[in-house]
Amino acid sequence: MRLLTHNMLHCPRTKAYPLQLVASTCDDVQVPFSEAFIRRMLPRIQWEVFREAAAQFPDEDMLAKLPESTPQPDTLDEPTLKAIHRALLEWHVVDGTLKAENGSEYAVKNGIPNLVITEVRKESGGADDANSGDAAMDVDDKGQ
Amino acid sequence: MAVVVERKTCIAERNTKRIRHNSPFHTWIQGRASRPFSLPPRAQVSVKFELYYAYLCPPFHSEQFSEHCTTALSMDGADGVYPSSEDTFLLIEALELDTSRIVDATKNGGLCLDLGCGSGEVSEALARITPTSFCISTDVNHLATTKTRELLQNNGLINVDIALCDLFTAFRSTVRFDVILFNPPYVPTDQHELEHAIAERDIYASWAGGKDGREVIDKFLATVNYFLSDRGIVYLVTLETNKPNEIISIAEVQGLHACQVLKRRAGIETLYILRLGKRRDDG
Repeated sequence: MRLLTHNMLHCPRTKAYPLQLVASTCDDVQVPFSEAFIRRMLPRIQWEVFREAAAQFPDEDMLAKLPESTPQPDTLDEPTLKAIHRALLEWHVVDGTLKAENGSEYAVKNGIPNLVITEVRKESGGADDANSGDAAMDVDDKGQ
Repeated sequence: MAVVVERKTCIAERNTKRIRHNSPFHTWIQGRASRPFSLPPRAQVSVKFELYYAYLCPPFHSEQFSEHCTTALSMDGADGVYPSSEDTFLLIEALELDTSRIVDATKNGGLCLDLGCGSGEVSEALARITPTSFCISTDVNHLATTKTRELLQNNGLINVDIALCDLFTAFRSTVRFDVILFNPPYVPTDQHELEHAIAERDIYASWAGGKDGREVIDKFLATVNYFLSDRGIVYLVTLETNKPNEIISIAEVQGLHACQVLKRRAGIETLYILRLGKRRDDG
């Protein structure tokens, strides 16, 4: 899962956004740089969420290279575009967790975030949607 | 007695979307294609794909399609993932026919979504058709997402991410995709089968569509236009039984332009590929 994908995900249960990313294993795969693609994606990215997630990757002092606020397309120089490209498309979260504000947690395993939720069984005490206390336990554990 | 009759009807309605011991293509291929199974994995699927076109319209002209299928896929769903079949191939063919439209919709880089990626062949075709785009492939079946990842990795396609999720439920409402593909569970089933699919999210989820095979399609139609960019297009697989004309009307009520791009008979059913879009000429 790359930061571009992470940027688009919310909690399927409560729609809480963003999901806080905690990466435990990461990977780095080179992707051909396309300035046009980055420029097209910029308006679709929630910049603060992207920047905060990029801080998860300790190498290269990425935060220093990414502007603090949403960059204006005409002020972008090549080093900044390349830094955005690198953080957005080359870093992979292999294993980790996505945490929602309400306490729900979604696992990322082998690069695949698991955002399906199982129906809460009625006989297990009537815990229903958005019951934050038990929400994390409802997360599907298949595929793990 | 009534139960017995109902069961029989159900079996009679089995069609190519289910595990398909009776799919015409799979019966045909089992009888003829002992050789492909002994080929190395990479050759296996392209052979299978060519065989499909040989079956469809002999003598076959498959050169333009064969390169899209390059990894081994099982024929019977025994691994818990829906095996690529007539509907998969028809969708890939539609994408192939519409290449220039897709390239235009994703010009200078686009965002694509493949809902219900199954064995991953459609994602693979899309990733090849629009290499400058970023695609997300999703399924509710974890075996399908794993299989798709392997297929893409084996083919060196790095512009795709994979997620386990249900329709659009995991995407924030401000996300806009330029291309959305959906090969839905379209087989008319009883509630029991649909509930099994929802609870277990296994291979049943690849076909169980409830009443008229429309329950998941209707959920999709209710939200798809919110997740579509202004230049975006949707490709949807449907069955005659799903009432494609009604689906087109629903899409039009949602403000989308819609049309049928391909239609093909496959055994007892007729498959349709519908295209929906925000721009007039996409419909």
